[in-house]
Parts: sequence; C-alpha cells; structure tokens
Amino acid sequence: MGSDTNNPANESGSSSSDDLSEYMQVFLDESAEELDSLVEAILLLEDDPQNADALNKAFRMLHSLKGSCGMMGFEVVGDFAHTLEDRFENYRSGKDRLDHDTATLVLKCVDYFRSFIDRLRKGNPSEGDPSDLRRQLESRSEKTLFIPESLLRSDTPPSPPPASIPPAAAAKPIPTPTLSGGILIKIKFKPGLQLADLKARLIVSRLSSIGEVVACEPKIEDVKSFDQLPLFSLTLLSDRKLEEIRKFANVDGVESIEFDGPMSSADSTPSVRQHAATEVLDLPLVSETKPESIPVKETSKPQPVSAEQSSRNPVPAPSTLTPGAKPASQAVSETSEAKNTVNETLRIDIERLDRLMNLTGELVVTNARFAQITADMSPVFRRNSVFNKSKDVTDRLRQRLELVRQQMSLSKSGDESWHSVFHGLEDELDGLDQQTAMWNEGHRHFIQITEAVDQLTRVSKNLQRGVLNTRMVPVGPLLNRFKRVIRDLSVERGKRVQLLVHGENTELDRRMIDSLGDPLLHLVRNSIDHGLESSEKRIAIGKPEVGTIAIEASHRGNNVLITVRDDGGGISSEKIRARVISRGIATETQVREMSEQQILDFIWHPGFSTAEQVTDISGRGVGMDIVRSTITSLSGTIDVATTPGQGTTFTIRLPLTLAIIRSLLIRNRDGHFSIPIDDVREIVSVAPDKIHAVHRHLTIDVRGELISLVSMENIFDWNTSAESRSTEGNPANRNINVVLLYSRGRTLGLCVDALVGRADIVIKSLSENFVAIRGLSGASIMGDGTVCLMLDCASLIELASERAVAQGAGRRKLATERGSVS
Amino acid sequence: MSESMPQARSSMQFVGFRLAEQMYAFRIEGIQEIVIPDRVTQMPQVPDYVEGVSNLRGTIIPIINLRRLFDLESKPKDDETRTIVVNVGPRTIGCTVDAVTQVMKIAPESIQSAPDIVKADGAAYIAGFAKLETGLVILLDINELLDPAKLDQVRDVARHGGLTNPMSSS
Repeated sequence: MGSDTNNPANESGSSSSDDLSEYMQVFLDESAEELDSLVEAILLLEDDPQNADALNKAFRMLHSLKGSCGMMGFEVVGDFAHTLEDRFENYRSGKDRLDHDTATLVLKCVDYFRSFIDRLRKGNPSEGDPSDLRRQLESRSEKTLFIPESLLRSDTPPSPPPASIPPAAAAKPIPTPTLSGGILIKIKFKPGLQLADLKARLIVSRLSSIGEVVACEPKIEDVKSFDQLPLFSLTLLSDRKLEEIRKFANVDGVESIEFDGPMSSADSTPSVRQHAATEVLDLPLVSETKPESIPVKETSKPQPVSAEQSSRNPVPAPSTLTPGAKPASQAVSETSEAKNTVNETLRIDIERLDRLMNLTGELVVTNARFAQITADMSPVFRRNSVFNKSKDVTDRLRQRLELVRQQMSLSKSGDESWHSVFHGLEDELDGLDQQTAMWNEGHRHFIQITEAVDQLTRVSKNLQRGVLNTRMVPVGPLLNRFKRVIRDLSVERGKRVQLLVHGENTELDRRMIDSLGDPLLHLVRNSIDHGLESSEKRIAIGKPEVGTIAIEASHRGNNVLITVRDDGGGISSEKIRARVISRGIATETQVREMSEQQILDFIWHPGFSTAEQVTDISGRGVGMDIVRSTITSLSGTIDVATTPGQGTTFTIRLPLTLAIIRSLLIRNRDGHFSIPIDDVREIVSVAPDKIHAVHRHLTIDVRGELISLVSMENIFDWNTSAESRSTEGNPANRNINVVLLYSRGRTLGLCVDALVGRADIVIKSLSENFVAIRGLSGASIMGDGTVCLMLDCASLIELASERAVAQGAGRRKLATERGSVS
Repeated sequence: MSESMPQARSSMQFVGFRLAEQMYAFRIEGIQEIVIPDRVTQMPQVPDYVEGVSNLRGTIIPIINLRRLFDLESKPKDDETRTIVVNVGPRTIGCTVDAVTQVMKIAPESIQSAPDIVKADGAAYIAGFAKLETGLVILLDINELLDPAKLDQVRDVARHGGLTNPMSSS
C-alpha cells in the first residue's frame, strides 16, 4: 500500500495574492506605527508645546502618512493628513502654537485615521468623511492665536503668548549639535599604541559609513610614515549626533575623542565640551589643523568656555552665520532625525518565525537526544580501561600459551595434533588483537562524536537563542499606548492622573505583546474608575492631587513581570464581601470564614464583574475574570495586592516566551510527561511509611507542612485498555519520587515513577488537531519521536481538589496500594 | 451534509479499508496519507476510542481507533493495521483500521444513498452504500465521522444503532 495519496483538496487552496494586498499589509502596519508615534509626539507637545523633536516627529509622521495614503489611492484621507501636516508646519516654524484643545482635536483626527486603518484591515476600504474634523480644525486655527495657553491649562507654567515669540527664538531650542558644516574630530590614541596608522584608517572608514570625511590631519595616505601617532584629527560632514559619532570613532586604542568646530547651543553635550577644554593643553598638534574646509557656525550665546575655545583655535573659525541659516539648520535637524529613526529592519510574517522557532526547537530536542545517546555509551566507550583490559587479557593469554608450548617441547611429548591446537589458539589471539584495535578505533571515533555533539549543542543553543530573539520586542510601545488612554479617561472622569512607565526596554515575545493590550487596558481603566479618588478627596486626605498610575516591566529570571500600580484608595474587602453575598457567589457564613486574600481573590470570579462596570466607561464589558483568563492563556499568572487607603498593585508574571518551556521530564508507567519548571516547587523522595492518610487524604509531611499527594492514575481518567496499563507499581520499599507542584498559592504532591531530567520543550497545542484536555497544556515531541504530554499544573491542582471531594473510593484504593508497600 | 454524495459526476475514487470483516471506504479527497502505525502516546481524560496522540513528522495528531469508535471488539495491531490520516476541516486526524484494501473507483449509479432510517438514527456519517463484486462497501463521510465534536455521537449511534450490520436494520 502506498504510504502517500495525493490530495487535491489540500493543494487547490488559493494562496495567490495580488501585489496590492502585499503592499496593503505593509501600509497598514506602518500607518498604525506612525499613528502611535504621532500620538506620543502630541502628548509630549501638550506638556511642552515647543518641543522641537516632538514637533518634527509629528510633522514627519503626518507627512509620511499623507504620502503613503496617496500612494495607495486613499485621497480623502491623504488630503486630510495634508491639512494636518500644514498645521504642524506652522507649529514647527513657530508661526503658531499647539494648545491643549487643538491637541485634543488632533487626537480625534488620529482616531479618524485609526478607524480608517481598522476598517481597511477588515477589508472595508471606506475612507469616511473627515470634513467635520477639518472644519473644527480650521475654526480652531483662528482662535488659537489669541488665547494664551496659560488660561487653558493651569498646570503648565505660564509661558509667553505665542505672538511675542519671534520666529528665530522659537527655533532656538531645536537641538542641532550637528551641522552640515563639518565637525572637527580630534582623536588621541593611547601612548605607544602599535599600528596606530591602521587604527586611524579604521576610524576613517567607520566614520565614512555615517558621513563624509573631508579632511584628515595628518593625511590618511601619510599616516603610515609616522612611527607614533599620538593625535589624529579629521573633519567629518555628517548630520549624526555627536554621541553617535563618538561611538563610531571610538575604536580600541583610542584614549579620547574631542569634537570641535560647530558646537551649537550651550545645552548640547556639555561633557564633551568640558572634556575638550581639559584635554587641549597637551595637544600641540591642534595648531596645525587645517580648517580651511570647515565652515563653522559660532554660537552667539556667551558661555563660560568660549574664551578658552577661541584660544585653542589659533586659526579663527570663519563665522558663517547668516540670516538664512535658520531654516537650513532646521531642515538638517529634520533629516538627521529621520535618518536616526531608520533602523534596518525587515518585516516578517510571525507565522514564519513560528515555524522557524518550532524547527529550532525540534533541532534542540534532537540534539538532546544525541547528547543522551553519547552519555549512555560513555561508560563503555569513554574509558580507555576497557581497551587496555582486553589488551592485557590477550597478552596474558599469549604468554601462557608460550609457557605451555615450552613445557610441551621440554617434555617432548608434543605430537602433531597439539601443534595445530597451538596454531588455532594463536590465530584466535590475533583475531582478538584485531578486535581490540577496532575497539580502540571505535573509542577514538566515539570521542570525536562526543566532541561533535558538544559542538552541535553549542550551535543549536545559540541558534535557538537567536531565533528566540527575533521574536522579542520591547514593551515600550505597548505601555506608552496607555498615555493616551489615561489622558482621555482622566479628562472624562475629571480626575487628574499621571502615568509613570518604567522598563520600556524590557523585551517580550511579540505574540504576548499583542495579547496583553486588552488586559492591561482594563487594569488601567479599573484603576482610574475605581482605584483613584477624586481630586477633592485626595486633597482632603492629604494625598497629592494628581493620582499616579505606574506601569513597570522588568525581567525576573525566566519571567517578565509587569505591574500596574495605583496610589488610590485600594480595594475595600467590605465591598467585595457585600457584593459576593448580594450576587450569591457565596453565602454570608462562607464569607465570614474567609481570609482577606480569599476575599480579594473574588475579584477574579466570573460572576463578580458587574453591570455597574459595563455601564461606565471602563466597559468593553471585560471583567477581571477575562483579564485573568487572558493572562492564563499566555501561561502567565496575575496577582493582586491592595492596601486600603494606599493603593492597589496588580502583578502579571509572564514567561519570556511561549515557544519554549523549561520543563522537568518525568516518566510515569510507560509515558513521559513534562512539567514546567516554574510550577515545580521542589522534588522530594518519600519513604512509603512516611505517607499518611489524614481524613482519607493521602498526605506527606515536608518540613512540617502537610501536602496532599496524588498520582497520575487517580487524578486522571485513563480510558485506555487495561492490557497496556496493567503494570506493576513500585518495587517494594523503594522511596517514592514526589514532585511538588505549585500554582496560584496551592501546592500538590504528585507521585511519579521516575525523574528523567530537565529539558527545553517546544510546546504544541493539542486543540490544534484535536481538543483541549483539562490538566494538559499541550504536547511536545521528544528526541526519539514519541509524544510527551505537558501537565497544566493550575488545572491539575483544581482537578485534584475536585477529585478529593468526588472520589473517596479511588483515594482509598491508592491508600491501600501505597500502604501495602510499607 | 458537507461531503455528500455525487450528483451526476463520473465515478469517484474511494480508499477501501476493512474493520472486522466489513468493508468501508473514505473518499480519496479527504485522505492526506496512509501510514503504518507509529508509537502512540496515551492520553488521559479522553474516551477509550482515542488511542492517544502520535507524531506525524513534527505534527501532533490524535489517533482514533475506528474499531472502538464503532464499539467493535478490539484487536491487537498486526502487520496489516494502518493509520489513515485524514483532514477534517483544519484538523489532521489519524484513525486506525484493520487493513487498507484498495483504491477503488465507484460509479455514481452503483452508490445507494443511506436509507432514511439510518440517517434518522443520527448516523449522518454513513454517506451511502455500494455493492461491488467483493461485497458491500459502506461509504463513510469523514467530516461527519471524525469531527472531534461529533465523535461521542458517532459512538452512541454505533453502540445503539446497527452499524455493524447496516443492511439488516433497513
């Protein structure tokens, strides 16, 4: 029978996509990112309307949005982006200022763009009608010129009305430490540096990658002729920031780098300047610098170091500051920004990365199998002694044979038949020698294999880490999205809230980032709605008027922690009690017996999220139970801690990646199971007589703590036929291995037949081809090709406590089974 | 019915297999491949007709034992035992049968649709019957038979209805 049948149904799937849809995906993704950056810029501008970086960024985002919309043929949207772009051009050039209300309006425009993008994603290319927004924008533009911002926003210090700012002054804070005019870079090498000429060449070639090196002193062609090259200076045309240039110029052997020439406003990198000032005295070569091609822009602002600066520049820098210089410098700073933000990236369908990840995972598993095999062979092959011993044996045999032969010839009793026997024995010994030699050869090969496997292990581990890294993205953009939410909500609720974000660079699996948005959003909304008090109340109880919500992300071992903390009133356990009773989740008597933590845990109960929440703005109708189940589906946990009057902290703990799970491998009967290491509290070995039956619950005593004990047989229903599962349990009197599982504050002891070891598991879903099974979180493929099931500890513990109630009989059976051993 | 009977088309191809001396057949389009049974990892919390899960070139697929699904006496694996890997919607599922016999072409006119009484019984997974020289072949609808959501129902019908001897019930 052929093992392969053609399958036309499967192959006829149409994967042909036209070019436009390919661009469409890029357009959608990029536009979404641009809108995110735009919002970020606008929020910055709200606090600091003259922030040149933010203005430029907003302008750039709008500009690029306009362009891409036009390219895709969305003229209405593109046109509208153009209107906004014009507005920002005015802000940028200082003709106008972005005030709070306009910012709100611009955010609404962003919403319009967003909803357009969303519609498009769903396949609806309707562009919508922005004319209403446009009208509002226009009417706003007339008003803003006359309303001083200080009247609109009380929390920003009163700033001079826009009219009083001359264009030039407005442009002043734009940081332009870099100019197209060229930067003189002086590099001092460490004294006595070997091959300094090569270093100089290296620096030149590195700098050439970010700009144009227009002059060198000494000339790069001549550097070879210098035995010593203590100082090397060059002029670079580049629009990069000084810090960046420093990075490029800083190669091994460089003692100091100083920048000279077009230094801009006083606030730019004072440390560099300071450095330059102290270094200048012992650098006589500077005077030979030829600055002929360096148009230097001198800052007009007096500054303490300027005297020193001019004294160290014997050739006075020609001042090229002209009235026209301002717009030029602005243009430069814009393009430099643009260049800075261009990373060399490649968009890859995450499915492809997933496939790569899976394959790498399998490689690692297969590799582990190799390692296991070599380890198993090791006792036989690794030691030379085996080989030596067999050699010894043959040698001894040969000696004895010789002795016998001598005896025989002495006694002269030898006849022909003995001769042939000796001959035969000698042949056998030769054969044995050959075997030993082959054995030796095998041993040598084995050593080589071991080395190769070690190397393979290193490579595949690195490969795995590398592939893993491709999926990791910083959480920053996710967390920063909440700035907007908080702003909107705080306005709507009339509460003043500030958001603190820490750990934006913490990296997390991209898939998790995508799923975390909603739960985090809910937590943040919850904090504003229910956590933070009104401003009046806060003042009355002596808290700062502005409430704080802090979102923090950090690495903790193999996990990422995300906390959402507010400094509000905390969660009142009295209110929870009341609600739990009124909703009939638990009775009054039950509630009375519960600990504070147990009461608090009711917020996760599906019946607890209330209508009250749906009606108010926190409601997409997502309850805390959904938050928890989302986090759980990401293999994470969420916990809450609250201090009445001081605030509430939610802590989300997530694995670094969903793709690979560090696991403990165990064997039970004939199957392998894996348990996530994070869920394993401890592994203990228990003597059979240390297992107690407390109220018919099997328990063990671990350092004074009683932990209930289950086995895989009585916690699960095994419906498989009897013949395959009828194996005998433990040999008598052997200690039982117990893995202590820990999840959500509860511990359970699981008896296992054998502990196999640790493994990095690539988890695959069971529901993909079948159905989800309670107690199992998935399966993985072992090195030998068999399937290994992964235990889901949280649901296992739940199952155990349900069984404890339901199956007294089953437990008694185990009790006798285990008890009979002792 | 998703994968129902042919309407005035030329003869269709079926893969025939045997279960307890009865011939059955799947339409060839629903079949991904036929493999010799590999090691199967037993699973807890599943009905007995689920043998477990197996590794099919890196994909984990469930293995359904058709004998047990049809409530027939179980039989140890032998040289002839095969796993037919089929596609049920997006899922890939394997089912073990006693033997795969042949690929056959069956002309539409030689196919009888299942008697109403069988369908009324809930046995929607029986797509029809075909009388061949070698005997009666029961044509099965893969999507109705092996959809994980419908397995329990199939088992129920098989247990109480008379699939083991379908002609006698009609």
